[in-house]
Amino acid sequence: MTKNTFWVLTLVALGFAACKKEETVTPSEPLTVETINNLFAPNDEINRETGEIIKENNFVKFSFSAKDTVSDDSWDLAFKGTKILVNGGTGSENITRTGHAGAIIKDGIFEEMLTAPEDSEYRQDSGTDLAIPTGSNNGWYVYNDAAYLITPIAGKVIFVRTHDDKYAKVEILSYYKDAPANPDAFTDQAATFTFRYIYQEDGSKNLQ
Amino acid sequence: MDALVRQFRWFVQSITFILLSYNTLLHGQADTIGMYIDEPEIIISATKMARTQDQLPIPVQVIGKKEIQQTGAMRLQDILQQQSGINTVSLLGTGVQMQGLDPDYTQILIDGEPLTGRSGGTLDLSRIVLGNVRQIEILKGPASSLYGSNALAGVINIITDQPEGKSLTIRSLVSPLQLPDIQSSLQWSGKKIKTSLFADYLKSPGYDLDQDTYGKTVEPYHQLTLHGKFSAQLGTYTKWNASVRNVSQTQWNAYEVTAPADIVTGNTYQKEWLAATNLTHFWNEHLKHTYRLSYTTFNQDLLLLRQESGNVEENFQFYQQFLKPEWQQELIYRNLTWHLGAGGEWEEVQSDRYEVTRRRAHPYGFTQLEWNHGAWQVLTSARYDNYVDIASSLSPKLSLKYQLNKALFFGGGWGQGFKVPDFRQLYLNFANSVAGYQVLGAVELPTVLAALEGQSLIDQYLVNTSQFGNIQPERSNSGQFFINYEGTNGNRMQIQVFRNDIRQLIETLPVARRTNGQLIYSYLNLDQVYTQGIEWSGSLRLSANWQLKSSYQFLDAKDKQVLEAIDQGSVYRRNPETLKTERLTRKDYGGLFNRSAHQAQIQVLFDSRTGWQAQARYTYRSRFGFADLNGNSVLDAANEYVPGYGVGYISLQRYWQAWIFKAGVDNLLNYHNATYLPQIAGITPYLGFEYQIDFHNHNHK
Repeated sequence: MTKNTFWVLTLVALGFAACKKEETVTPSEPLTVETINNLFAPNDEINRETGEIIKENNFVKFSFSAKDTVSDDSWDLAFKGTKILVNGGTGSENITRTGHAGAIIKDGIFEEMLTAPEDSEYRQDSGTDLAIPTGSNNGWYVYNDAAYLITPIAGKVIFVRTHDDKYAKVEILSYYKDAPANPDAFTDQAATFTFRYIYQEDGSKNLQ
Repeated sequence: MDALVRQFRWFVQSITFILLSYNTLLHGQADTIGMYIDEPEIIISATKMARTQDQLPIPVQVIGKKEIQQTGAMRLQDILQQQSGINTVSLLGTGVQMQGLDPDYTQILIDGEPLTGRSGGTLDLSRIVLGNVRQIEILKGPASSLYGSNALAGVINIITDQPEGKSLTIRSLVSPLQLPDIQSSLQWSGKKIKTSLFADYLKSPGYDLDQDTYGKTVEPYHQLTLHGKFSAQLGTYTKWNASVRNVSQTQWNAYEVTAPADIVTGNTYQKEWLAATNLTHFWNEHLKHTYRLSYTTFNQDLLLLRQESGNVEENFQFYQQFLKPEWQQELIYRNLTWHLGAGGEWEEVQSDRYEVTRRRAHPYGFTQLEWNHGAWQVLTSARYDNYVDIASSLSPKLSLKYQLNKALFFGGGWGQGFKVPDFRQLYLNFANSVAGYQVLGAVELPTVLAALEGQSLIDQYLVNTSQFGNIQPERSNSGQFFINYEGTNGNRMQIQVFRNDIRQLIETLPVARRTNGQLIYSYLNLDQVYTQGIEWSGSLRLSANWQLKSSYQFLDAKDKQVLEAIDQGSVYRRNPETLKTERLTRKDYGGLFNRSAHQAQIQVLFDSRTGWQAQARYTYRSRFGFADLNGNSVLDAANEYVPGYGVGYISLQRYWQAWIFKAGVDNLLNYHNATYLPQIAGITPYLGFEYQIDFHNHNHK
């Protein structure tokens, strides 16, 4: 898979309404909301009859500062199927965690959540207990077993402390290629993430 | 408690073949009722005594023999499906939803005695055939004040034919779903002793609404029903009734599985016994005593095998028995009738999914006062159920009616109902190793968790552990108000408004995660819901031959916690087009799943009065939610609804000498939805006849 051909960057300026406040004491520029489209992170291929793994796929590593997937250890989040790892803590997966990353999922609306949570709140991966938990209705998605669909839960905002102690917030928008309004588990390509995020490179918790 | 259990057991063992019976007053009065539509029906369910509708301050819906005969309906679900304000729900059998409440909340009685053997809370209505049913009484609203647990949404009482005369009736109906259904009913009665024997054999090839999937929507089954009744007049003032009912059913199963691909087949056997007896004695013109005893068993045996591998897919046995003695006194003094009753319920369940055999027994007492004063009718009742391991319940109810003039009256009532957690919710201990989860009853939960905790197998608790081991009955508070118009010549109209508030609703949810990632589910009192609505029904006599009937129900059923969360702004959804997350408003919330806001029915009846009868009926149900798809666990998006639908019925009957011939088509417009409404078969034409041999030499019914 040529990873980079699928994703497109979209820049959206936030806070036009706040322009009138320019005279106030904190004239910090609003951060830009970045959107990653169609990050394809296929799960291992499994023989449906026997449950055996036919082909093991690698986690797709993503870096907020690079705004892109990376192949070295400077990653923050890594994707494979519905699993999302952070570059911090321990785990059984075939990946090296060298960073200090952590994550915490909060309920709310992305635009309204302006500050990253306290450091004590971030969780790291620990064995099978992931900072961003897997499982239906357990973390970021819900699985519908009648339609076989993975749907990101609305109102779940993932706050991330990056591998090098910066902060970001992420909202996963779709698990299917081109984020169709009515995805079909049989025809739409799954494990294809569309998500948006705000990344604060100055190390502060301001995510406005 | 053990002593009580032993006593009851001894009682059961010593009386092997107890016979069932029924209300004597019904018998005496019912004989005078003819076959015409507008005769007042005798209603038993509302007071446990025979009353006509105008003697009652509670509206009771009655489906009479004539109405049943005019349709192709052979089983209870077939006829209930055609009523508005009642939904049939297909989940582990076909159950009934009344006033927006699930099947577990409606008590199903046969001649006043409860049936047992519910799967996941649903009592499968297909176990009840209609061949010997005199009438179906539907009492909506809480009836716990007379019937105790499970009668929170109401009661459906199936009244069967009383033995009378000497005759043999043979009935048969053939349709693509019934190949065939054969019934015979033998009545052999003298002056003092009356007996009847009813038998019904139904064989069905099932039906398939979705050819693409392996297996049929409903697989073939056959069912045999036997029902014997006996009554004896012991002197002028004493009457003894007894009856035994046996239903056995064999249901084929066939479906496909994956990983590895295989086909699973096998039979589900079900057997049910209901034996009951009662004795009525008039001490004098004021005082009457009734003694009742009923014993019910339900047996289910399921063995499913994988065809290719020969492995056992599922092997499940379930056995339940239920014993209920009851005593009731009726004291009449001028315009006052006072009832006092006491009884006990003893129940035992054996199942592979329970650690040991589980039993419970509890005594109860109830009282009821009927008072008629001028234009006023007052009915008040209360029942106390004294449970041992669960909180006891006092269920009061008050109903009033005021007769404004000859045609118009209005009334209302208030009552409290309850439902104790069933055995499954208390004692289930079931692990599904294939899907990787475990379900534990509320009583089992603390011990099993403690054991797992000791072995360090619990990864995380998902709810507050202080709630464990403290399950409470579900409780309701209900009110209703009605206006009735009873015109001359069969014109009538009724409007009813109802509201049910239910608290401590028991929900299934994951309570802990094991270190291997498997979830443990259990039952907890969680939700508070309400259901409210308006029911309208009307009947208009267009001419001597034509009659028009219609009815409508509006229903609003919601979860109060969801409403609260919406008001707090903590329920979200994603706009599928813009992918923007937004807060849900009250307007977006569609309420509880599987509830239709609107249900309507229209029916045209024709009676030539010379032996020809015909009817056409159309029922409509508006859209209803089936599942959450957008991940907020709440019904809100358009694609989470099954679209509204209508079902049409038409039938023709000919009465000729000792014969009745019948032809008709059910589901005339061939509506079907295999996924969400598997209980509705496609278009079904049928033909049938009935022949009665009267041994008294006069052939007319």
